[in-house]
Amino acid sequence: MHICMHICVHVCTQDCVHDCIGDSVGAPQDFAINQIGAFLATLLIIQIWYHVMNRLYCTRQQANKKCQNRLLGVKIQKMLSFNAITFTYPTDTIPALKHVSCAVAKGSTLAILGANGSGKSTLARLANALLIPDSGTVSIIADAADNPVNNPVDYSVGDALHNSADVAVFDAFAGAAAKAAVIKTTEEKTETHVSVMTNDVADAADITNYESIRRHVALVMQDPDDQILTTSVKDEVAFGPQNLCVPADEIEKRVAQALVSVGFTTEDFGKRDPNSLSGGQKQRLVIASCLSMQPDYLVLDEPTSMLDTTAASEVQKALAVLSASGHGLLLVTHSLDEALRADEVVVLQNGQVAFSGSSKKLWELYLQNTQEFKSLAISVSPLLQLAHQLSSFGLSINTKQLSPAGLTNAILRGANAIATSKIDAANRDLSHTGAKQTNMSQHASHLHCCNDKQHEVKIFNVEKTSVYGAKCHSEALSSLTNNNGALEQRETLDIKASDSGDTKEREALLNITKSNNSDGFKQREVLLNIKNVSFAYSEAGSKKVDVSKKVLNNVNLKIAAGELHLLVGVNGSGKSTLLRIAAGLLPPSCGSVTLCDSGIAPLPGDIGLVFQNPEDQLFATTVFDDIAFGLRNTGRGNDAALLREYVNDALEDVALSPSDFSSRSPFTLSGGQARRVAIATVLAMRQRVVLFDEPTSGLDSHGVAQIVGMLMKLRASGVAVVLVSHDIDAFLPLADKVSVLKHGRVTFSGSAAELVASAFTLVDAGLKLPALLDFQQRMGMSPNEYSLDVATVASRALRINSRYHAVRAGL
Amino acid sequence: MRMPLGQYIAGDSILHRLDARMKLLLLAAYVAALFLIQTSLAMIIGVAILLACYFIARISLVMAFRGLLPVAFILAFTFCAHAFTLTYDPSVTTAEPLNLPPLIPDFFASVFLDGIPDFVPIWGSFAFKPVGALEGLFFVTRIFALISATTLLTITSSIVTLTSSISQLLRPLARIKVPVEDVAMMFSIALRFIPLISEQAEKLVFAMSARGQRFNQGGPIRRLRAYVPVLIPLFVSLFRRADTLALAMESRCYQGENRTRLANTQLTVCELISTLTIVVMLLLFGILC
Repeated sequence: MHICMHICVHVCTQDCVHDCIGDSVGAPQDFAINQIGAFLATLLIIQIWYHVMNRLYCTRQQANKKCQNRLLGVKIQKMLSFNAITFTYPTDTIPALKHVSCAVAKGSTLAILGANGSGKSTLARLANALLIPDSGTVSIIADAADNPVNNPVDYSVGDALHNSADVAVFDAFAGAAAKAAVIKTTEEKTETHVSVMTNDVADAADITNYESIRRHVALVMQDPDDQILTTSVKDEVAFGPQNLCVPADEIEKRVAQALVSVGFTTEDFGKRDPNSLSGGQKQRLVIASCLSMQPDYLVLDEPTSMLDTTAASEVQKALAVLSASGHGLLLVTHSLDEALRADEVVVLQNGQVAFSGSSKKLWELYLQNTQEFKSLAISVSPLLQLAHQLSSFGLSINTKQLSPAGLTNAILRGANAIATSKIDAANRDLSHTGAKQTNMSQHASHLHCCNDKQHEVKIFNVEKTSVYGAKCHSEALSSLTNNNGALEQRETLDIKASDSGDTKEREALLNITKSNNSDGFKQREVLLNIKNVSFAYSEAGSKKVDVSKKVLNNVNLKIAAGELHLLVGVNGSGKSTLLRIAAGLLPPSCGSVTLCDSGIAPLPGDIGLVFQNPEDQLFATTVFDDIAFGLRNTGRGNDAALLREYVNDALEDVALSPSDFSSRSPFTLSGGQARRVAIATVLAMRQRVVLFDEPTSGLDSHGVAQIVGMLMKLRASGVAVVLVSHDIDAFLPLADKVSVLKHGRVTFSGSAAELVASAFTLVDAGLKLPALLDFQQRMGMSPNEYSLDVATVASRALRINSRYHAVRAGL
Repeated sequence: MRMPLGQYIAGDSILHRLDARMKLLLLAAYVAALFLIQTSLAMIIGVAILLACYFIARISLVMAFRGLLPVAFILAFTFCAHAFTLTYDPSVTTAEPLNLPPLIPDFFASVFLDGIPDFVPIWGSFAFKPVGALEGLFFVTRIFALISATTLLTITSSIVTLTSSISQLLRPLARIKVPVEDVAMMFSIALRFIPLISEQAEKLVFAMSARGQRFNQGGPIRRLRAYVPVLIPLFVSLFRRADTLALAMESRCYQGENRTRLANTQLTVCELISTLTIVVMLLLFGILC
């Protein structure tokens, strides 16, 4: 024991010393940080232990109180169903959920759609018996025949009770009429079950009952980092079955199986440290560790909201596989796109069901633009808007086609040609929007006409070759869609061709854009100049900087007043490091950062910096003190009146009333409010350059809109806003300038319009194209006519559709 | 930028490849031997063994000395406590026989201490004690060997394998109701979260610096107080993390002790026999010398 203790202490101290010597950059901080880290980790463990033990104890207590008499059997069906659930948190007076009923069948997906605070997560936790409803029932009924959980070695209450079925129901009393009905319909079974319960399983039933629910319903939460417990991938996946006392050799099998079903292999990943995985891989690991318990249902509480788009699509693919393999999925989400891909959708508003039905029905509601849909207050992504536009011109689009690829299929494959009159209407629509736009885009639409001719030829060619090949119309159609890949290939050729300068117009257009921009930029004063900046973390243990491991490589950026500069790149491309260097928190290894007012490098505090999840940075007793903290640090806290003015202005900037919020504790605020206060703490400093690192991650569309509004206001007031975000869809249309980072190099820097025209740089940097651009790429439009305007894209797509049908009719 | 936890340096020496449980056993035997040996010669052999191990593992001795830094003060104190005395009384110098501990009577003592006075008075009752200095050197060498040996262990095996090995070695204690599994689980969680928390702390320090907080100005108290705005949010998010983690554990049916144990990695016979032989040799060496 002594030796062990010694080693542990030793390791900790070693670590600190190591860092202290090793890291020349920011050394005094790192030393303290590691000690704090080690200390807090210890506290964390104690805290976790306390919680787990406490909860387990409580569960047992609750089980004793409620479950013993309340175990019910319901008609045998393969369903996870919620019947008239009402739930109130002990700390709250208003119920988080009121009479919520819904159900997921095995092999189907139910999406729970709602804003932050609408009770979605509560519902997810109820499904997993982590919370017990005040009234109503949650029941899980799985058929024994195709239920792999019914392994002879791990017994559950259910197995003890039934030969054919495994029933686990938990509920809580209160005389809800709905529940009475449940009892009535299943009177006979109820009696038998309860009697078996009391006779055979007695006290042991209480706790195992929760357990048998949890083994059928697995829960995946938002942040994978908070759910991974162990230090190797294999241990993590084995954790669940270990708790279920599955024999060791069986666990090995299950681990291998679970890893394969999320696209991992035991050989490559089994021994990896979860900390070394990417965000998407971590979330897949969490899913795998649920799968190893062989559940029938997976409850996913916003599994992609903390991930970037690439990681999110990785997780979505894994989910699609699960759904196909017969698992019932309950997907909690705030994106309509995701919800529409499910089979059934329940929309929650303030804890109540505002809509319940198939995703098709919700889609139709949206298409008809009914009052009912508007009352749901769901925000709609550009892609869905596009689909709406297209269908308003008579194209039939089903919910399965709501992706760039799906829409492309719908247009190229769609049996119905859209009536010419409607196309004309669309064209009028386009010219209408064109009139609203500047002369630049008029020029652009002129160019589009030229390009359209090329397009016609292109599509005709595709048609011709396929017809010659197959001599059958229907086959021609299918081969056309198969040719999607070919279309994409041609796309790249197109890019090359245009690069070689075959279109003088395009160059002219670019010149116009450039001159327009440079005119704009001339008026704008450059505030921050990042020149030839390279950065490499010094290697642990030596003062030498490892040049081969450069995080940033020769970065040049000019940040001007009143511009929104969007910085995009995959994780690890050096975005966060660049922000830290720009804010003067890290010294660049070579190159320089200069503040143009003073002509010297910025000191910490000269430039505002808002980190990801800023709500985690609040610490003071009142909102006022928190906002005043930075002002006091920079010597502006002496004049009380002035301080108050600064604080009030900052609060108003983020649309919070100073009189209501100044004296509140930052820890009593809701998620969205806390985030806005945290941003106000930076805005109060009134710096001329403010850097934002993922300010919208984890927010619902309403929250994103608030942040966007605030950023626009900030830009309008002449502040230079630099924004790092994965949400290219939301910010690209708003950005004045965009820079793409790839492996620490800036591969593109220019206006948003220029980026749209050279969208391949995004793909090259490993990013997912915004849905609208992806769609246009798939449609075979040429990059220089890409647009972010939904109406423009829709009418162009329609023209392609009509031309295609015209060609087909002519055959 | 995530700092690697511990100080594992990947390598392919025999020491790197040896099962961590065996390494732990060897370390235990080595430490026991260090405490058992009584003579300077044996100590020199002990240090030689250690240096040979460093050579075999191809680890620079700089690492060993770096490991000593945090305990440099303790080492200096140990040495001084032995080498100097505060109770020197010139009047009783010769009268009182020297109470030499049994660890000096070998030939080094006779070589070095021949003709050297027992005490070299410095000031008043404060005096230098040459015999004590040798004795101090002996103890300091022991601590050096102890720490360098553990350093070697942590350099040649990753912290994850170390903790799992420790928990595996302690498993028999579960029979006498020592919560080994719980402790292993706690260590595992700690190891996973220390890097995450350090990273978060680093971020908070940056965020607060950007709000004008200075962490490296003023006296120690002011510096410590500068960390309050970092610690509070860290605690808050720590509690939130702990809550979520507890939920995640509970939703995966964690109930403490009652779990399946995964099979340990198999030891090769060769590994086992050679380790046990060395362990026995080390212990004999400790007892006999």
